Amino acid sequence: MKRLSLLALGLAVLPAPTFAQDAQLKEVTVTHQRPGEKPKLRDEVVATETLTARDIEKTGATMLTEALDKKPGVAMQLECAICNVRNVVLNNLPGRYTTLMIDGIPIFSSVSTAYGLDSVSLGGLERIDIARGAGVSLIAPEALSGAVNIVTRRPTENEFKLTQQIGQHGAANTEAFAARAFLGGALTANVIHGRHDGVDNDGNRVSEFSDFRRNLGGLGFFADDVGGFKLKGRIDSVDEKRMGGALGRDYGGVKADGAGNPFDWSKGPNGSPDPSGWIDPGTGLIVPYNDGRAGLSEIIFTDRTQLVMSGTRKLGAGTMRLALGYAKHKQDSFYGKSVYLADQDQYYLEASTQQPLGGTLVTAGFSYRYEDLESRGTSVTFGPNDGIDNYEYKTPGLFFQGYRTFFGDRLEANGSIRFDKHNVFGMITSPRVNLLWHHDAQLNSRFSLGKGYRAPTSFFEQDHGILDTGSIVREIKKPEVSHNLSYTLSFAADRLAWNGGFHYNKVHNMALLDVDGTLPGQTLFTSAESPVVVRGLDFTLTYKLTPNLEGTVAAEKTHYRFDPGTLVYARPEERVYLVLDYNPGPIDLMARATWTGKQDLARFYDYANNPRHNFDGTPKLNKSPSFWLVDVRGEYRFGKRWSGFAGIDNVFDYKQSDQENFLWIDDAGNLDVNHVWAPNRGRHLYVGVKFAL
Amino acid sequence: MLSRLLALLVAAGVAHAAPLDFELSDGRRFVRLSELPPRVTVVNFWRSDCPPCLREMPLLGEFARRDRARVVAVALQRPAETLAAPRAVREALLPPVLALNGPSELRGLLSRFGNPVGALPYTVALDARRVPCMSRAGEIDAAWLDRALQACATDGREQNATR
Repeated sequence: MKRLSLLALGLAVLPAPTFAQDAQLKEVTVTHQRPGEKPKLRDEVVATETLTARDIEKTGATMLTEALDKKPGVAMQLECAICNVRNVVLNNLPGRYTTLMIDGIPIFSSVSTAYGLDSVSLGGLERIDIARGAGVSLIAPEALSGAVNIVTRRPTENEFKLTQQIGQHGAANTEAFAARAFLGGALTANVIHGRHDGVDNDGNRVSEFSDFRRNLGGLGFFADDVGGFKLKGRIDSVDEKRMGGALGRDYGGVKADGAGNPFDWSKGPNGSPDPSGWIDPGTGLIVPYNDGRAGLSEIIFTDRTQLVMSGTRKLGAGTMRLALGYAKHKQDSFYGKSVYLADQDQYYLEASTQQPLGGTLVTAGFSYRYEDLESRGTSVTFGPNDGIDNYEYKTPGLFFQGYRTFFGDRLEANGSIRFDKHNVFGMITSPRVNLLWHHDAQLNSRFSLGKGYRAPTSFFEQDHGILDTGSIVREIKKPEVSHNLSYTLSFAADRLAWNGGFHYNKVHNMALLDVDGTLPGQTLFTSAESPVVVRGLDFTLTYKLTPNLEGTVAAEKTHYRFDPGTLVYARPEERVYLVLDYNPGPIDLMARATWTGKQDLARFYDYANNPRHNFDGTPKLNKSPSFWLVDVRGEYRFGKRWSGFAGIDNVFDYKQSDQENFLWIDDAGNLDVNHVWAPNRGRHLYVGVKFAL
Repeated sequence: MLSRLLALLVAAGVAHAAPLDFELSDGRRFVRLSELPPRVTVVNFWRSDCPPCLREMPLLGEFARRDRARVVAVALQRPAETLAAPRAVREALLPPVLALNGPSELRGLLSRFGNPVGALPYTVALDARRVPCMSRAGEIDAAWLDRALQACATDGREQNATR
């Protein structure tokens, strides 16, 4: 909930009927934004879609990556079935181009983007704003595909909520949230424990879904008046252990088990004729596996603490905002006998003011961003490689934004520019323009044009597991730069709502890895010579079919233009989404079907330069088959305090491992792990209860 | 030239106080305001996690029971959440109050009723022709309802209604 001042309400921007409105406001809350609802361009993050806490609850999501999945233009992408690296993908661009913010403060990057997003708590939030497109955020120019902003909720009364969920595959999630509201402020606390066993559906004793144990704790505070400042902040801590490859949780035992063959390579589709190894596509001979459980296991321990705090106060006729962010992210990881230890620090400082100047609402501010990464590691082939991806970025920046309405508030316009002085890439300018035209109270058009830049942080973010390399040669001279253009037409009436849009994204200097360096064991970290272009259309229609039943149909079509090695994970060109919501009285039922079209695996995985094979020596599929995923969930409220829920994800048990293993063999007979184009866990049943005071 | 043309287009489409309407579910059927007998109507938008919304609901219930006007309460939440509202609110929502469920996409409804920001609680008084006479973003009281009735009773529309 968000309290509004009289001033803020006075800035209401949409055309409204001319009947008299009260000006005296005592206590007012604002309805949560929903997709397509009352877009406001004067915000620092211009949201294109919004998920409320209720939207998230309806899907049964227990983590951020699940909450953001299966929506037009928004998806969760699994990059590795061994360690479950999952990214939030906007407009089908790489996940590292999505900037995650908490209350408008960016504190995730490189290693924390790879393994940190699953650890973002959904407790105590008000909504998640999604902003698709480059330059959508005044304060996060590196968001080349867009930004996701988690907005925390200021409780207005004492609360206690407890949710216990259990499911197949040893899954359990316990979440407690408590809030204490008092005159002039509130305190919150939330604790989450989540767990999931590794899953091996094809019986080869290699997991297709990693085992994890995750503990999160967070404290939030809200103070309405501290020296005139309205303060809001939270501190969160995450402790997570995950392991994929070998099953179980014997982390030490797996690391020490470096010889022999504990796996069965004959299992699953196109399995090897010999359980002790696979066929070398070049010779037709069996390559025996002799690296023990350690050789195919990835073990990642994450220890993260983060703090975000912001304060807003009246300044003249406008407001002033101060913001602070800090994150310390430690990763202790083991990738098939290679060791990688990373220590990342991030700081964010911001001071800005928003003032009305002659009918224009002007925002001006300063920000300072610091992030570094220090790593230590040992390559199984090349020995110690400490510091191969170390970096230190310092970026002071100035930003300006003007917001104004025209033609009786029919047209909203927002223009902004950032000047960042990057310690490696020098001065970078990022402009953007957003226009919103209200055809009437129900129909609006939105046009956005923006530029963003991003300093590539480390090779880790592109190839999430440490490469078996001796050194990294950075040949990146320019930052990654994205130009984005988008248009959306939205309509919302009482029973019918729809929106359709077009987006065009062109990314220059995309960072990429070239493992064929000039010396053995050398990897080049360089920039693509040709730009990557991703353009797409998406359309969503929602209609209330009966007084209690609502249906949604959505579709997206995406076109990619890229050189090999740039877009390195499979992406579909078409997706279709069908959702039914049935809400009679105390019952909430949801059924969701998502169709994913064929994916051009040969192109995305660059078969031309690096053919992929199955264990029996046959080539991998050139195109993945299209498939449906169906999820259902029901919740019944027994009264004010208790409710129960149950659901099935992936009802028809569709999984890639029934058709093709995510493990693959290259031309030289070497094993690799990231041939992913569909889910691998299969059907997942869960039940749970909620209690609220 | 272009701006002049745009200004003309805007002038042609400027919102005016036309009769308002909605088509919302009461859980069993769709209710269209224009199909109800003409009468002064108070339309209140509310939600369970909005404290002032909950505080003012008994007043609206009492107002409806005294038969001073038709009262429509539009819940901007799932029906299950309405059922879990405090007892005083659930009792206030009983007939003669017409309790309806808002759409999942709120923007159009709220904007049509003059509340593009989505402030809650929000109350609009309509005359018998469904033309708005007064509105309020924030908690209402008995005096406001009296003034709204007067405003709607004069000629269906009062531009200079008491604030």
